[in-house]
Amino acid sequence: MTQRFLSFSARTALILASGLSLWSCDPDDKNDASPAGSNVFIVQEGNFQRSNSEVVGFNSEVGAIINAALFRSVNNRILGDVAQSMTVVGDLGYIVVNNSRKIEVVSLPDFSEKATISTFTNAAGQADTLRLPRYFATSNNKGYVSQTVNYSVPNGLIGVINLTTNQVTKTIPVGKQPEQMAVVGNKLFVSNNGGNTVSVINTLTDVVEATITVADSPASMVVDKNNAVWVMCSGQSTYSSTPPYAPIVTVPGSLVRIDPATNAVTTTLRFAAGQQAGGLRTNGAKDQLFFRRQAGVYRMAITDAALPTAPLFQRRGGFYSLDVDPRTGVIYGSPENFSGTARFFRYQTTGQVIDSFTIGTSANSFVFYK
Amino acid sequence: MLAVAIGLLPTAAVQAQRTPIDTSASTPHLLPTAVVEAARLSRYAVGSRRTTLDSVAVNQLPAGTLAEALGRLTPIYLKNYGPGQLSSITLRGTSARHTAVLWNGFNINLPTLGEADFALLPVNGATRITVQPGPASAVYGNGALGGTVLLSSPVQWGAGWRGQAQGDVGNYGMRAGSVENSFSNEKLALRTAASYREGQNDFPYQERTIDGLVTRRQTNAAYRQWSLTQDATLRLGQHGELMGAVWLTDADRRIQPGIGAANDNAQERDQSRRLLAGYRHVAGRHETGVRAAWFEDILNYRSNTVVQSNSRVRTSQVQADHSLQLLSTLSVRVGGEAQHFAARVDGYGQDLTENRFSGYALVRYDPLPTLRLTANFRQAFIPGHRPPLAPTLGGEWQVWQHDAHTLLLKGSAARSYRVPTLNERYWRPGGNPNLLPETSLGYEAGVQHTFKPTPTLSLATELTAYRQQVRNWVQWLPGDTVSYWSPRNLRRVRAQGAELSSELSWQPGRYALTARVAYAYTQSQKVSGYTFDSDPVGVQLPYVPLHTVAFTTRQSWRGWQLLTQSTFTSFRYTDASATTFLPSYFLLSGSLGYTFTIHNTWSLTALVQGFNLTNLTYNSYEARAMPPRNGVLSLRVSWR
Repeated sequence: MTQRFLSFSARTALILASGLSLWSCDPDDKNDASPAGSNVFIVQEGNFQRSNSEVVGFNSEVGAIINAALFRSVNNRILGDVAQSMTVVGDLGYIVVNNSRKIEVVSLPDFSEKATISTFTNAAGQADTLRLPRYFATSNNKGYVSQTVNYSVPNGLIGVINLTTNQVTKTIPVGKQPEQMAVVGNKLFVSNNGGNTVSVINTLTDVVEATITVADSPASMVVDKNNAVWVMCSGQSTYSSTPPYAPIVTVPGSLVRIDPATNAVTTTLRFAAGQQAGGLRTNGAKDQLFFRRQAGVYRMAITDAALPTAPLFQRRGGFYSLDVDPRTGVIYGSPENFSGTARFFRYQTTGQVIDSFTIGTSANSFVFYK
Repeated sequence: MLAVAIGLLPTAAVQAQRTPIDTSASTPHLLPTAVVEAARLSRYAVGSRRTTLDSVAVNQLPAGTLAEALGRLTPIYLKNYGPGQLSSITLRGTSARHTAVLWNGFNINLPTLGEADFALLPVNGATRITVQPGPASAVYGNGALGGTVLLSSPVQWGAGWRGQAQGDVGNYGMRAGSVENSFSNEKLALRTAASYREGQNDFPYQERTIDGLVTRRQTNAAYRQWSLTQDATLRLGQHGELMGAVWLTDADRRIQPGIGAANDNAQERDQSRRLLAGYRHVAGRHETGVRAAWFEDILNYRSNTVVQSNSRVRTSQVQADHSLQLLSTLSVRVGGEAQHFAARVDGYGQDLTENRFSGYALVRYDPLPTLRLTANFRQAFIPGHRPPLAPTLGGEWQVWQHDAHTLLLKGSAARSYRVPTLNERYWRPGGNPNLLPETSLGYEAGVQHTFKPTPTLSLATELTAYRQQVRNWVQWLPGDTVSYWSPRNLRRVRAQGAELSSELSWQPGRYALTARVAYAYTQSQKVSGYTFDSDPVGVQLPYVPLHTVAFTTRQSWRGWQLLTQSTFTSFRYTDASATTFLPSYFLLSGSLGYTFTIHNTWSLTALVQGFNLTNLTYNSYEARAMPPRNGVLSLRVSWR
């Protein structure tokens, strides 16, 4: 009895074991795609704390995704947690990885790793690190990275980076939650999103030389063809205390124009009550402005005296990101989806949709290269 | 793969013996002479699979958690954010919100999240851990779509004093201690259990950087937790029984950051105070029970970026039931419960209260000695919406008994429901008070074969197939016109699968062996959704492995005891589109102990336990490191 039983058991175990080997065949996730040929880099910030951010390589002429995971396929490692932005400087790409507290520097277009900017020795001689870095800009051969630090401190920081050594050489306190930056000549304009000001840093001396009051919650910034700085301020909102807790806009958004020569606010275009906007962009000729408001994408000329009231196009749910290809004027937009694969759409300058592509999670920006 | 074969073969080939794990619904600890013999609710839940964990295996580490016990001993998949970190269950392809965890008949899921963190529940809080998967467990109330985990401590009357104390030392700063002491005569039963555990969790893991592969020490993953349980049952005369229980749990955890993510110094304090009192009166064919419970659940989170987020919910609840034995083969029970929630949650912006009620009727009918049938109906009442009537039908039929063979057929069908959680209704922004309850229609069928050729050998095998469909599945999605996410009744999800388990017990003499293999095939997919729900249909849901296997053995010989636990978990998708996944893994753990009997009533056990013995690098949750091979040394004193 026992004898028979043992052999039965052994057979069962063998069958089980071979079964297990079958099931452990995980899906194939090899990425053999070449990095070559991308002229649009699509930044997928990924999910917070899941270190699944990536950059997708896309070719705008062929209209095809070249490589769905550029960083990992080339460098055989993960990019990090929450890729907030990517900035192209010559043939280098600076990818700011927010919750990894670092900037990955890659060479373009092959995307191979060049440096990781993260830890440094601060002015007090202590070991320090980037703290929730957001955006990157360059001026006078130096890099500037805006850092939130955390959401409760009154001053965010701008880190100054020596682009030769990739070392942080100085830290400049600015306003609360610094976000996007714009460079005109030797001036770096920093939007302090947690307040209502724009800090102006002299990039020769790396000191704050002025703080300009704009409107509540400045975030995105562009420089137009006349070298004027445009700042989109999103205003303020709160939530209703009764279900379903609808948002209440307490301060509507404003589009502000700054004259960089005088640091004076020369134009403030205020949205109607209850309206907020974001994602300010410009075209290649830098004579048009684009922004997102709710489900719509709006366009205006820099000479327009009033904000546009009708959208160029819209899509239910709106867009998480919007960028304009400076070479062709084609508009790229990605709706929000962070649970599964997302898509991005391309639109003609007329607002007519051209095509759409599937990517990992929503894109937060499209970066155009050469 | 080879490791799997090697891991399985030697142990399986030594196939042999011991008393089987109790998988029945009966309560063998009640003495036949019991004056008061209360019928358990499970008596009305026949026809579905139930698994009671092997208490010997569970109690190798009494200060260990339910997450670890379920993860090692069953094929149930728990999504684990790191050792000692959040562990959420997925039963039969449903989400963690779809498993009800009951402590002595009361649901202890957090009312805010609607789920339990199994890493917060030390195993010595209860003496019996039973899993009843499937919607038929709707007999236990709200939220039991995927199944129910039942924690109880059945009284063993007239057992005198008994107890044990254990101290444990392990890798990565793990220190633990536990004590359990119980006393019972024919009138009074008491049980006290306490445990403490802490760990640094500074285990090494590897990360690839621009400088190549670097070994790092896990940071910010230390934990400290304790649990205190006091149970008391007092018989009042011939007919009455008074019981009270207290269970306090407290965990102070650092929140382990993801690999590649910055350490935000996040920490979480979870404290739960659970008190209950009940009275049961049995007279003739009537039985009446009244019970009241008060829970306080605190979850305070803070980090560098989220400065503080606090949550406190107090739940007061009463249950009453009356049973009537109409015939020797027919009994009915009617009952009701009321719950009052008082929530002070930072995310709600204001204090909130909510009342919920439900009533039920249960029928158990045994038309033949070999046939048991149950029919149950439950109706819940919540503000705003009325969940549908939740009926459950179940049956068990012993179709064949021949020599050493017994064949039992089981079947059940049920409609169950889940009331939206407080967060889903009131979180600001996004909370949606208009959410409908989720409902599930499911059925299962099973066959159980028992083979007992000799008094020392038995083999019990059970095969179950099930299918269920959840409607109005709640999903948080970005808003159409607003910038925040909101939960909506968006989709229909179908879960179907099969479960196979086989348990062998062999006790030829002083040697005893129990071996159990359990396999689960779980397919869970969204089958339809609204157009704006961008997640695709027809693909496996994230974090639901298609295949899971658990193979456990327990062998003893004289004072020696050897236990092994191996589990296989197939790959899990990490996104709703089934494009990214975490690889499959095979984990092996085991323990070896020797017991010195010092006196008739005293014994000393030395125990060495090893986990992740194959030193595998694996992830349960995306980007969360898990410890390499590690061990625990324990010393236990037992008395009786």
